[in-house]
Amino acid sequence: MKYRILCLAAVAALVLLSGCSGGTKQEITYENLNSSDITLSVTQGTAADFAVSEKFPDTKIQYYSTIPDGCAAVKAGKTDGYSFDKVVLEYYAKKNPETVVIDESIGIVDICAAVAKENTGLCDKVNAFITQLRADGTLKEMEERWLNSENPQMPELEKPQNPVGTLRIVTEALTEPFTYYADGGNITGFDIEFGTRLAYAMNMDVSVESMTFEALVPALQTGKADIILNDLNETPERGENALFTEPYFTVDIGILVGADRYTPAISKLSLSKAEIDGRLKNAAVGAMTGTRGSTYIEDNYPNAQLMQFDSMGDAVAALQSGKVDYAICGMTKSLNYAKANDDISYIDYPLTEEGLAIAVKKGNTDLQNKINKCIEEYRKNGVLDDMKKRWIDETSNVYETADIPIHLDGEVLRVAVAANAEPLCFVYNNKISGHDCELIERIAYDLGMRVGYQDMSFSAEIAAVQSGKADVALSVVPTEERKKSVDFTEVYFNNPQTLITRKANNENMSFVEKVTAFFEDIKESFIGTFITEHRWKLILNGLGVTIALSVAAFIFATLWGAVLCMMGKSKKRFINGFARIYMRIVQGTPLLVILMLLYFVVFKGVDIPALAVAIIGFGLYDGAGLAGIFKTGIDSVDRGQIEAAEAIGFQKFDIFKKIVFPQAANHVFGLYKGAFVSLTKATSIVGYIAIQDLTKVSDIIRSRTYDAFFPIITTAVIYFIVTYILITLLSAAQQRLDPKKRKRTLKGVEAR
Amino acid sequence: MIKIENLSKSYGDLEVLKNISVEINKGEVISIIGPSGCGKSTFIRCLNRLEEPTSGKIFIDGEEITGKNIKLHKLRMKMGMVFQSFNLFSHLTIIENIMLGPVNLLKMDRQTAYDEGMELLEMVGLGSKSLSYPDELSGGQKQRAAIARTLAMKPEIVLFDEPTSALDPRMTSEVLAVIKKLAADGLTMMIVTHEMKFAKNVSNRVFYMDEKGIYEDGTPEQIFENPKKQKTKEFIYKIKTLQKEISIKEFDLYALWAEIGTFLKNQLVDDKRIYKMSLLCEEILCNLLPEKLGKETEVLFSLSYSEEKDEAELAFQNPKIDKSFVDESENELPMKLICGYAKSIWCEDSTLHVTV
Ligand SMILES: Nc1ncnc2c1ncn2[C@@H]1O[C@H](COP(=O)(O)OP(=O)(O)O)[C@@H](O)[C@H]1O
Ligand SMILES: [Mg+2]
Repeated sequence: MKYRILCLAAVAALVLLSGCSGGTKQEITYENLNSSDITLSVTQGTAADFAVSEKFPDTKIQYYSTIPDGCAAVKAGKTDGYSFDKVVLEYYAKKNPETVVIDESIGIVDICAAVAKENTGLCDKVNAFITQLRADGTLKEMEERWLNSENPQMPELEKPQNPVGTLRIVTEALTEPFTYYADGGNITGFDIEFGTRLAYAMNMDVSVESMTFEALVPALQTGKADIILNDLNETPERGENALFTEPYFTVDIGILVGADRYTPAISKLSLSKAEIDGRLKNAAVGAMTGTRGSTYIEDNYPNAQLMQFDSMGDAVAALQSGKVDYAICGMTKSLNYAKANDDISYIDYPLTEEGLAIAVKKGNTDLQNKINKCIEEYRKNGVLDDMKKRWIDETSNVYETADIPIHLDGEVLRVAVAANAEPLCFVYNNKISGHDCELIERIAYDLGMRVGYQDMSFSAEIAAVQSGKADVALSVVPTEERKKSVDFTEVYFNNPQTLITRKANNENMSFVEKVTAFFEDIKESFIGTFITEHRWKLILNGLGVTIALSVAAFIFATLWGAVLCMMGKSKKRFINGFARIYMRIVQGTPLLVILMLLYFVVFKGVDIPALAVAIIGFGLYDGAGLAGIFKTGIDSVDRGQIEAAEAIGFQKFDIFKKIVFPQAANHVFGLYKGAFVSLTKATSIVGYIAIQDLTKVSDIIRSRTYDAFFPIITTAVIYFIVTYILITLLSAAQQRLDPKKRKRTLKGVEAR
Repeated sequence: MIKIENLSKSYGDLEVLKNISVEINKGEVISIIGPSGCGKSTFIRCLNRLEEPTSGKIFIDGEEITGKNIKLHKLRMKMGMVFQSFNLFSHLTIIENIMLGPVNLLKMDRQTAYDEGMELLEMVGLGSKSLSYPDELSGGQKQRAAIARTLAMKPEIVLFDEPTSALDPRMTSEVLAVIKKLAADGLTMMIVTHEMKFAKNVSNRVFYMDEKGIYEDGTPEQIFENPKKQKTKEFIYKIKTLQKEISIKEFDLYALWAEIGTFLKNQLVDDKRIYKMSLLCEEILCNLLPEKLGKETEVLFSLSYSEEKDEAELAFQNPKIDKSFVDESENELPMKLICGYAKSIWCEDSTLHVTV
């Protein structure tokens, strides 16, 4: 026992040590990525694969088969970067602060659905549906929901009353936020909402099944599924085996790199509300006097030490000099401070909803309505998005402006602005420009007018409109108070209050802090793996599947092995020939191939649960191995004893039952036990055919937590425990088989 | 009781038994002897059909057992068999080995089977070993247990196939003693054996097998003392005599000792006499003959044992040996020693004879 504990300790020490390795490496910038000193990783056949080889021809490329693996490799410093869809990488980076996504995108990828090659009917329907969703703004709404909100939920969609058939979706479900396992083990995400909407629009029910990536296209080809929705893009190779629809979404391709090796234009810190609450509780927070941020802190964090400054610049200076730990202001400002100051990080949690709107004079409903109509239109046709991209999301100080035509002879729209709020409204290239300015210029043009700016202090804007000096005021948050003085249009942009803080600097962490951080990490991993979203239930289910599958398959394998063994002993040439050839072929074929063949070819079009297919597959495969073991056992029994039993007058079956079997069983029980254990471990490949066993579950969890280390170790430990218990149970059975270990008494007689 | 008509058996092209016809009566104890490979085992294994006869008929109590439709296991229950290699069931204790047949085949209740089994075990002297496993017993004990297992089925006849060949002499006698007792109790038995003395003393009928059949069938006295046919004579002589060409210069004394030892032990000669015999050989072959004949000669060595006279006789034949040989050397040291060990010593037809 002591020896075991020592071994465990040694393993733990190894794991700990491996986490502490690594030296300093070269700083990464977008420009130096194209170099033979750099290794970038991709997942083979993805759009990122092509983009990387095109953009960085000199760079070495490495392949990781799954996204979590690639990301984990970056985190562990095994590769310099991993390229994939930017949104997905950002999810990872958010959860793993050791990594960041570089600011630049290296390409875009069109996400499409795929259907069977000959299924043009469905393809046409999907294409028409995509056009419709785009036109009515549903796609926008879905993007907002899945990509930009904190805790996305699948909306309630109206089910068809009398569905005709079921649309069978297959997906890997390992790519948050497109397709992933949510709380309770349901598959959800952008793609799944899309598929569900599609099915309902076609008056069909919907089913979603997950399988390994490699199995997706075969599932279409063999008619196991109708459509793949898996954050999938078309490649020439994939195009040969499946029919791709029009894209329903477009994402950027990004690169994930180590945070210690890359300085993003804006240093972002991702914190949840709870974490922010914890940090702000007793912290010193700077704010500008009389702003919404200042009030927010006062109302929500009464114990925080609020310090008010005359200008936001002073608050930031206080932050930099360490007088305060956080400062609060609108998102656009926060971003700008983080952009401008290397030592400041932006905390990307929106504390409030702050819609910016345009103020008009009270009662000027005509102008208010006209502007509202314009805003509504811009929202639908993507102009607002485009503006946001160019002004708000820009990470440098160079903005792409749009050329808005001007009605030179049009009536002047007098616009009150405070041109000191980059990027909403500020002086750029000696002209008043910015997000809000572009907006009002567009509106003016659409209304047949031209803009005349009146630059004033922010506090004067409302008064200017109220008094009729200006027709509209820009960038105003419609508060109840202000609504008493002026009327507001629709909100055109949300500029929530956000925090900035000094950049964390872990390099000077003491050993104790490092150890604490390590255990903190483990605790977090534990919670993420087991507690969050009741994932322990998922694990328990997976474990149940693994055990049920192993036991059922092994029973089947035992029976089939016995039959094969008997056939092998048969005197009829074709019967023992069959057994021999069967055993050769089966044992010479990879198990996975057998499983795939069964699932996709043999049971093609047969409605049989995947679990049953797996049981049959493992049974057929291991049956061959067990037959060999049984044969060894039977051959080990001394011929003479069989002859003696014959001479006494026993018949064949009795001889087998009473003489051969007990001895053979005792002889090969060790091998038999080993076969069971290895079968249990081998079941870990059934994820390929849509079975959620323990390994698959750990993949699912990994795809959500992006935690490479913990779920893997957890599964390893669970497999170890399960096999250990199995071995213990079987060994107990073995004790009973071994005559020498039995008690030396004779049952049913009165001994002398 | 058993009648065999024209029994033949071939393994492929190899004909082992040819047209054997013989009748065996109740109460007979038959020893089967013959050179090895002559088909003794095959013959008795054909009787309980562990080997399938190629042709011929076997009747037991007038009932034919060679037809296709007979209940083979019923026949076997009436015929016990004891093997050279014991063949005890190694996963069962001795008493379980014995009870297995009666309980499962004779449908005896366990208690009766146990009681009878224990009785048999005590009869063969293994009462205390009932709960041992076979590999915890010596060879002789195993064979006695195997005999008890066979008897537990209450067979009408028991076939023994070299029951003592795998045993060393001490264990051989304990097994033979058991078989002797069974013979005395009147059990019908057929025993393939190389223990000639045992065959002669215990059986009331002997089959000498050769030339694919029962070459000579007779009483022990007839076969052992007055064999009628040529091959039988040779066989009997051979088992009674150990004969060898020996080169004085390079013979292996220790190998010869071993051979002498085995041969005499098989004749149940006691160890003291074997020791004397060994010393005599050494003295004659290493000292006396080299001195008299020189090193570059060969002698024909033979050793035989006569039961009636209870006397082992050594003979050395060489053309140069003559009567003067003994007289001349009477006072020399080797001869003195030799005379000390030997019962008598004389020369005749260029042969030196020594008895012990
Ligand atoms: N199963 C067998 N297949 C082929 N030849 C056999 C087989 N069993 C015995 N023989 C041959 O039959 C002959 C007689 O064998 P066996 O009855 O065992 O002789 P014994 O018992 O007298 O020494 C031998 O030549 C032996 O090689
Ligand atoms: Mg034999």
